[in-house]
Amino acid sequence: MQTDGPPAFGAHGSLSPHGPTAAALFDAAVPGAPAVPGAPGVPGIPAVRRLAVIGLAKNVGKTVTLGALAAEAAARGLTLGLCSTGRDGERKDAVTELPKPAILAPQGALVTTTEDALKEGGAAIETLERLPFTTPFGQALVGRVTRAGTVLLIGPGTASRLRQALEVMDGHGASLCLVDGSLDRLAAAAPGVTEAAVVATGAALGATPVDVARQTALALDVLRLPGLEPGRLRDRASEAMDQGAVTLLEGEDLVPRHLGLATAAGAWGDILAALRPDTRAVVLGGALPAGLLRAAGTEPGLAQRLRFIVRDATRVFPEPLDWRRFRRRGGTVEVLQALRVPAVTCNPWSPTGPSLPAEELWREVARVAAPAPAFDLVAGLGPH
Amino acid sequence: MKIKPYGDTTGDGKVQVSFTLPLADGPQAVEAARRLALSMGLDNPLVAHHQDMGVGYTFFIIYGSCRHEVDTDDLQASQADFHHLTMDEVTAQARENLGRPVVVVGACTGSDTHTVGLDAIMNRKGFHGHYGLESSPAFVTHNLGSQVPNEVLVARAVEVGADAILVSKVVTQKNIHVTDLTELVDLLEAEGLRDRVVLVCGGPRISHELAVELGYDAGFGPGTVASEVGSFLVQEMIRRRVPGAAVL
Repeated sequence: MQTDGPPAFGAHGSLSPHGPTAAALFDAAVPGAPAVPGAPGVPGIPAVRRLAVIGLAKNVGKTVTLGALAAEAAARGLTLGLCSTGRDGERKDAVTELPKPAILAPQGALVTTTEDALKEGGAAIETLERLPFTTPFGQALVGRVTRAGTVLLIGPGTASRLRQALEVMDGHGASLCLVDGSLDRLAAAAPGVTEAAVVATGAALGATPVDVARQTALALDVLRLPGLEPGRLRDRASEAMDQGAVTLLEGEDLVPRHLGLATAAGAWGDILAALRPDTRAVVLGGALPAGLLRAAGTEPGLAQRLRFIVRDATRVFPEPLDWRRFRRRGGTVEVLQALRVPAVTCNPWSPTGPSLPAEELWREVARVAAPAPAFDLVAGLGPH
Repeated sequence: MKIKPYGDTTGDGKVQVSFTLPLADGPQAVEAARRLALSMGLDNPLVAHHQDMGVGYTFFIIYGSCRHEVDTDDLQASQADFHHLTMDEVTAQARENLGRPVVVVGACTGSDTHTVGLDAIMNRKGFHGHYGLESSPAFVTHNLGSQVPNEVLVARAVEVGADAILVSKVVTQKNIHVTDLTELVDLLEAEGLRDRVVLVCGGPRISHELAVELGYDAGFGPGTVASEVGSFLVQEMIRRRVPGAAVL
């Protein structure tokens, strides 16, 4: 049995991994960024300006991924904006008490944090603007790093406040904002908050590399749900979405019928009962909850016949078994705004069980991540 | 100030620990327990009691002096932002400032069947002489009980127009409490409801710190009484300046 402690970089205060793997990850995640570190002249504006790092579980390496992206961005002369949807850069994990990797903010970077957190890190930060809300860890603010060092990021817990924080950092000249999603939450990846999401996965998800890859494949299947092609269906769905929680589109002409439900949560019975033979699509204004997926996968022929349409992939809540059955029976969910997953990172270390062999895990994850490249930043594994 | 456990004299660090080892009782097992206690940071460990548990297991009670100390100047125990009032004071505060009762929906979510904590906070009878939220006219409570799927909790919250959602999580195997709790937040975000409810979780392994990281407004650990949760709910509602509708 392997009883490895956290990898060496896990010690608080040390640097995140850096090098060719981090550079390759950055190139995949932020296309259009200056390619040469420290290139002279005016740094280009990258094609992606708001990038989320989301984890499929706790302790899969979100912070290390963020650290690598931040270091690369700084080396390429981009003005970084850093924020979190929870808390990042803390010394110890709130659940396991294990040491966590530090976040190093370069000079000139913008950070979203709180007054109480300013004195926690080694970096000197001047407050630029107070945000119009407090967090449970104090008054939220945007500051500029005047002396590089470690930072404690405290973020707004809700998507609407996260958007506000990102706008303020934009206003102060951030050319690339990185958002660290907390734990296994997906809200940071919602289109409208960020433009793309690097997905972190790892040994915390399963007991074997194959297990981890299976769970990762399922999550990516949902995150990469296809966007609706422009056309009448898309127009109708888009209109319907703003008008109610559940709308059925019926007949050749896709005539909308609003079901008058306040939410699709817990309402699979009502929705199924309202279906007619000519119902073509179910449009959901909010979430597509597990119960509806289960019902759609169980009812003969339903998954194949109906098109389910949601705003984006963060609105879909699949239980693994229900989702697999729904898919097996030909079910598909389409989104108005597709989510981009430009890269996947994997971490062979687990806080709860034995660690996994790094290279085997990376190979398995790379297989399910394709066409997106997969990276193990600490072992230096990637397509390069 | 640096402190150590108190046994007979201040700072002697005396503690008692108990555990079971997978060894048959005997001198080897006793020595194994002593060594383990040393590695745990106990000086002069004394195996005060050892008892054969059958099938090759032995139970131990050990006394020793703890080598470690705690610097209380360094401590930052985070807790939700509220003034702890009695339930009568909470009721008065709600009447004065909100003008209507706070609608609270609570549940033990996912596979969790342990409603003792939730009931202690929500139900009239309360716990340890502290009556629950249901006892105060400041709250309208809906206790959904155990094993409530997140989507059913959200559906009910929408149906009754909940101002606050309380989630109790006891089971923590494989961090299932974290998964269930984050799914609820993401579900509320997806439904566009997150900003409209005060979201609170509680349980033996929940701290305010963890709750906030999960995206909750507050977290309450073991030993919490209803008036604490009630104080937070009403004061958070006042902070959000929810306009009052009817008189209590």
